[in-house]
Amino acid sequence: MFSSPDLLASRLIFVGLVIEAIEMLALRGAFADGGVFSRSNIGILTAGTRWQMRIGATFGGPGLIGAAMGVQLAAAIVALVQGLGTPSGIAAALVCLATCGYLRSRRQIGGSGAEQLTFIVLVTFGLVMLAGGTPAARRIGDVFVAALLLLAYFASGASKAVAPIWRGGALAGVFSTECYGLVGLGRLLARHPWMDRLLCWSLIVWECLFPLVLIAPKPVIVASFAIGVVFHVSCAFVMGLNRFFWAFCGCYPSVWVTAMLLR
Amino acid sequence: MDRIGEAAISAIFVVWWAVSALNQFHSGAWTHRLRGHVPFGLIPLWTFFAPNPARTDTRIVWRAEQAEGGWSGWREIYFGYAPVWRRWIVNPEMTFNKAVNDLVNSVARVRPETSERGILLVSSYLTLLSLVEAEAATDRPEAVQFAVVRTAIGAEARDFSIVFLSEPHAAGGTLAHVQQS
Repeated sequence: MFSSPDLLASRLIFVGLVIEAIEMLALRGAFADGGVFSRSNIGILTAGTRWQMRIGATFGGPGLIGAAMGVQLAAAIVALVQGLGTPSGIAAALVCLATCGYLRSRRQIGGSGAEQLTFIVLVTFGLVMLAGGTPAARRIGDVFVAALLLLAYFASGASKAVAPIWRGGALAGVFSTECYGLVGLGRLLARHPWMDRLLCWSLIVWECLFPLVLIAPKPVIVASFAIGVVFHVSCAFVMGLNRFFWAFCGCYPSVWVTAMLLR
Repeated sequence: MDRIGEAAISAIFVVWWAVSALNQFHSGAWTHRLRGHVPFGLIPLWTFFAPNPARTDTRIVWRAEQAEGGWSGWREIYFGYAPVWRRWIVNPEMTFNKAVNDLVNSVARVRPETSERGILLVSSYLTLLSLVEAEAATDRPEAVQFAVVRTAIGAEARDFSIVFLSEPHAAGGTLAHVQQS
């Protein structure tokens, strides 16, 4: 991702940042008094926490959130077009780091794993630039992002593997919710539990084995990435998890770079 | 100079990754204290829907006690869900629903044996109450009460269960000494 900034795949996380900016612009009213993310609500939530957890937590209302997300929208588009290899692309990514950090602190709740991964990637990029932004520093950043992604998939797979609910088929239940579900699909899986178990076990096996891409032959790496793309696109369509594809698949170039370094 | 920087970020990344890996065990119990010092959620927990996947939707319902006496019917703080045709690309409603889930899960983690009324001092409980008060403000109620309801679409009809019922609270912040009806 950082070592190969010209690749289009290395810019996918910025699509997620564009979407985040659009979504937060639509929700900026929730940051006003009386809203879910009002200063008073976030003030209550962070009241007993340490000073560093409260940085920016109650700073700014819908106007500032709107401005920050407008800036993020523009910066993410610049980074998307320019990549992380040009001065303007680098500057745009660092602007996204600042706006994302502000949003995370100001909102505190309602975030997703995709947002978290995206923010960590941006912080990583910031540290890489702080270390000089050399090719070696970029490779170190890529290795870290790859290691985190492998940890994410493995932890997700392993925690499902040890959960009886998942081993017996959990998706019919998940799909019967309005938030994450598709009623028809939920009912189909409820009628055919073997399909539910098959899907759950396929997910568990793929997630647990994903770290092996580091030592696998190139065709296997590509196949694993392809399964990941299908999985995240399915999660977007079926469950409405629209930003996971951009965050997780956006890190695949780092995994590729790391796998090639190990050869 | 570059070498020093590269060594420094390498050290940071090794420690960061190790702490992140530790955080995946026992729902982050081993790193709980450390996470209280690290802002921006930089120590991730990536068990995603495990071990207990979301099999219900979480809803907040509330009612108000009017000045003339008597409680209103229950009403829902409804953020809505994105339609299927667009939620795969833009889904701002998810943020609202996730926020409510975060608050409710935080309330649910409070152990009742800690203190019978200790929950009244929990920040997530107070935030939920603040949300309800803001929603009820136009009614100018004497008191408000809220409940957390979980719903799921079953094979035949919608299943629901009440998982939490708050005390009645005087609107404006002090506890109400009213009879539950």
